[in-house]
Order: sequence, then C-alpha cells, then structure tokens
Amino acid sequence: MAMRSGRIGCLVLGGALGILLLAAAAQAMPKCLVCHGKRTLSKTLPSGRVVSLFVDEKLLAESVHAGRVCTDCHSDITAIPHKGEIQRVSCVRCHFKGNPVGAPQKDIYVEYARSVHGVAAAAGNTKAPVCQDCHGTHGIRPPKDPGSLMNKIHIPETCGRCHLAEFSDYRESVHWKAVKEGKKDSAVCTDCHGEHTIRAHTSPESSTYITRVPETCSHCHASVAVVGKYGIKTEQVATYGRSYHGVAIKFGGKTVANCASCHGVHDIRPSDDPQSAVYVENIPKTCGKCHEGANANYAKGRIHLDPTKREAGLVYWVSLFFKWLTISTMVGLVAHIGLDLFRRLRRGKVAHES
Amino acid sequence: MASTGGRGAEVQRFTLNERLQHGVLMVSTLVLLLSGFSLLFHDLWIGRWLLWLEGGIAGRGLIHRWAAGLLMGLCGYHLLYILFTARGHQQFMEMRPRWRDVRDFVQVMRLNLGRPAARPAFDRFDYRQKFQYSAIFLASSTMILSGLALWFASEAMAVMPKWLFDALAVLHGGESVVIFLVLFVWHLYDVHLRPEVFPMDWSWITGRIRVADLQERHPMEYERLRQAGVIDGDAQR
Repeated sequence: MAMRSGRIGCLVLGGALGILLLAAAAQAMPKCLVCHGKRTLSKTLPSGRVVSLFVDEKLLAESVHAGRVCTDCHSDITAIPHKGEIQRVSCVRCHFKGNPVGAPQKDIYVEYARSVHGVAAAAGNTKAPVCQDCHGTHGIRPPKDPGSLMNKIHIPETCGRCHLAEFSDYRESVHWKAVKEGKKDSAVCTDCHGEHTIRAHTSPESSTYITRVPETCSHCHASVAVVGKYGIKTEQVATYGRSYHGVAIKFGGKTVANCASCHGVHDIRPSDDPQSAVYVENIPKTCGKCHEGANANYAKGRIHLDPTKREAGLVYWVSLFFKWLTISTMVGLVAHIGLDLFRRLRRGKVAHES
Repeated sequence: MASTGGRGAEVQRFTLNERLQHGVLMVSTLVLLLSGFSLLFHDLWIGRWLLWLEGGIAGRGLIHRWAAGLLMGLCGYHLLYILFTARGHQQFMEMRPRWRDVRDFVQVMRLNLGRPAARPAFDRFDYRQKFQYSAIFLASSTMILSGLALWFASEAMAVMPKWLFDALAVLHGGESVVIFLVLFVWHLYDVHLRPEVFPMDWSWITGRIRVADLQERHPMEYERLRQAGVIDGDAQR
C-alpha cells in the first residue's frame, strides 16, 4: 500500500514538474521578447558599430527551428535580465550524430572543424565564418526553400559577402547565367568547392587543388545526365584525359594545364563569347600563360582532340594509317615467321622419315 | 682472317666499332620504347608500372630525352661512318635494297609454301636484314624529327599549326608500336628463336661467324671471300 502511494506521489510530482517546465518554456519566448521584440533595441560595439538586437518572432516561427525557444540555443542565459557577456550559440549542442532532439543525424560539425573555415575560426581568426555566418541565425530554412541562404540561387551571395572579388567574377560566368535561368544543374560555389569540407585550393585535399580540378569538373561535365541535357559535349573530359596535359596531371604533374588554366576559374564563359579565355582570338594569350611566345598557331586546330573522329582532320588520318600499319605489320610478321617455321617443320618431318 | 676456334673456323663479320654502334642503338631504343610506352599506355597496368619505375611523369620525360640524345648522337655518328669511312661506306652499299631482294623474298615464300623453287643465294645481307636496316633508317629519322618537335614544343609551335603538331604527336606514338613489333616479333625471332641460331646468334657480341654458317646463310659472300683467299675453302670443314 505504501509502495503504491509512493508511486502515485512520484507520478503526480513528475507531472507537476513537467507542466511547470512546459509553462516555463511557453513563457520563455514572450519574456525575452519584452525587450528583444522592440525594433529599436540595439547595442554599440567597442568598435562603434551599432548592432540591432531585435528578434523577429515570425522569422523563427517560419524556420526549421520553429517550436524551439530562445534558451534552447542561448543556453547560457538563466535569468532575466541577463548580465555579462552572452556567448555565441554553439550549434553542435544539437547538431551531432546521435542527437535525441530531432536535428539531422550528421557529423557535419566535424567536417567543418577540418575545413579551411573551421581551422581558421579555431585558430582565433574572427573573420572566419562559423555556422551562423552562412546559415543565418533566427531564420534558418531548409536549403530547398527559395528563401534559404543555402538555396542554390542564394549561395553565391552568401559566400560573396566575404569573397567579394570571386563573387563579382562569378556573376559574369556561364554557370551563374544558367543558375539564374533556373538550370539548377549548373554550378554555384559549393558544387566545386564543397560545403562543410571546403579546403584552401593550395591543399592537396581540396577539390579545387591543381591536380584535382579535372575530377571536380568531370562530376558534371562527364555526365550526359547533367550537362548532356543542355547540349554540352561530355567527351571533353575524356579527350583532356588523353592529352599530354591530362596524362601528366593524372600522375601528379603540377606544371601542366587543368580545366581552369584555360577556361578560367570563377568567370568561365562559353567559348563563343569574345571575352572567354578560350575564344579563338584569345587562345594565344591563354596558352601564353605557360607557353612563352604562343601565337596564332595555337588556335589552328582542335584543343579537345579525339584522334578516332574524322573531325580531327590530319590527326584522324595519321591515327588511322598507323592503326592499319600496326595490324598489317603484325599479320605480315606472324605470317612470315609462321611460314618459316612451317617449312622447317615439314622439312624436319621429311628428313625424319627418310 | 679466318680463325679456328672450338666451334669450327670463324671469320670476322662485324668490327668492334659496328658492334658498339649496334649496342648503343639497342640500349637507346629499348629505353626509348619503355619510357615512351609508359606515356602511351598510361591507362594500362603496364604503363602505370613503367611510369612508377621511371620516377613519374617528370622522370620518364628526363629518361626519354637522355635516350633520345644518345640515339641522335649515334645516328649522327653512323651517318659520318657510312659517308666518310671506307668500311662504313662499303657496308652501306651492301645494305642497299636491290630488285634481287624482291626476287629472293618471292623465292623464299614459294619454298616456305612448299612450291618448287631454287634456294636463293644471299649475299652479305639477305632481304630481311636489308629490310630491317631500311626500316630502322626510316623509323629513326621520322621518330627523331617528330620527337624533336615534341621536345621543343614551344619552338615547334612557333612555326607550325597545332593540327600539324598534334599529327606529329600521334605519329610519334603510332610509329613506336610498329617499331616495337618489328624489333620484338621479327628481329628477335631472327636472332634468337630461329632454330639454326637458337638460343642466340652470337655474332653481335663476338663479331665473328662460323665459316660453315656463312656458307649456309650468305653463300655469295662466302664465295667472294673464298675467291679472294680470305677463307680457305677446304680447311674449315
């Protein structure tokens, strides 16, 4: 009997605690908003910059974090009004593999910590981006949402807030032109550089490291399913791979051209654009970056060459000639040797019988 | 000149100078083929293995160019040898293809097929040896010229359009395979695997040939040497 009442007591107590906590949670938001709901709330940094401290309740309600309360993230605030320095929100509190609160089950934070951004931030570089710099704060939306900072159409802008020169180059590119036209297969920053795995292009781990560029471009440009849809040839990757540049880079050559050496990096344009680095009249200058004294001869002939195709011109005929010369040499030699052995065999037999 | 050794009387066939020329040609060609095939067959295991062996793409290039330098030096020397030395000039004249060689070839084919034909009497060089020498002459000159264009690419591209340069690159690779076949299938059969020379025709090292072999394989030369008194026609048997 005593045990039973004990159990009931526990239940009642637990229930009451739960209700209290829920009530506190429900209260947490409006309480914070007493101050932070005011549009005029701001503080002045030591640098003199004025930072708004206004929080738009609607933003949070429409974000992936709808239903969370302020103190879920701002966990160092335990009293109102709060005193002292408020810590930056640490997203890894929830965003780790195995979290019980329903955040994506991924260890993205670990990847980020190894990235050029994460390493710089950990080293104390205050300009290095942390999660919030790219993903936003109260209004984080899923990447598919056109309003998300992580939506394909907004990524260049998001990265461009820090990478200004690259952003302005990129906006001239055929990739951005296609993205604007709604061709979501086209590349934005993250398609080449990666997302949480971004490395400096000087790091051999980087997808934009000199020897890894062909592989990175090939993800789309060797795929009929991606670029093929838009009538872009996919064989350019293979023809590059067979060229001296392609072979040398595959085996670690760092002084040969990769895709970007000729086509440009952020401002890649179609080859028929007079401003393109591979526009026929610009080819001498582009090749001249490595080949001193490059002249108009460099533009006379195909660059992405497939010797097995008739459009390769003389190269096709030379290649065809040697194919048949090799075959006929092989047949001729084997026949010549075979006949020689055949006679010896027969002669040996005759000699043996007699 | 004829000397009697353990294997029967022998006669000088190649001078030391000629044997050294052959040695340099052999070494440079082998190295050129190996360091070239590592590039040509880079997508096969054999090419990747060769490339690894040769110290990667840069090491391979260096080896190829050194061997090319050796071959070019040899070819230059050989030209001087056949132009300005009596011995060299005489050997070159013996190497010239003649109509006789075509006739010899047809006769050998008839014999091999079991048709009635007289055994052709070869001179100092038979039609196979002449063909192989001519092939090497042609192959070396085209490979050296196209190779120089690839070596000095910037200089070459200053005077030739890219399509010609590309064609030379394809020629350089395509021809190397034909050279490989002629050397490894035909020449090696001739000097190693043919039953009468197996396991090896030693004359490329010793410079000598047995008088009996000379009579068998180069009867016209044998006859000439015998009449000139270089060989004692009866002593060697």
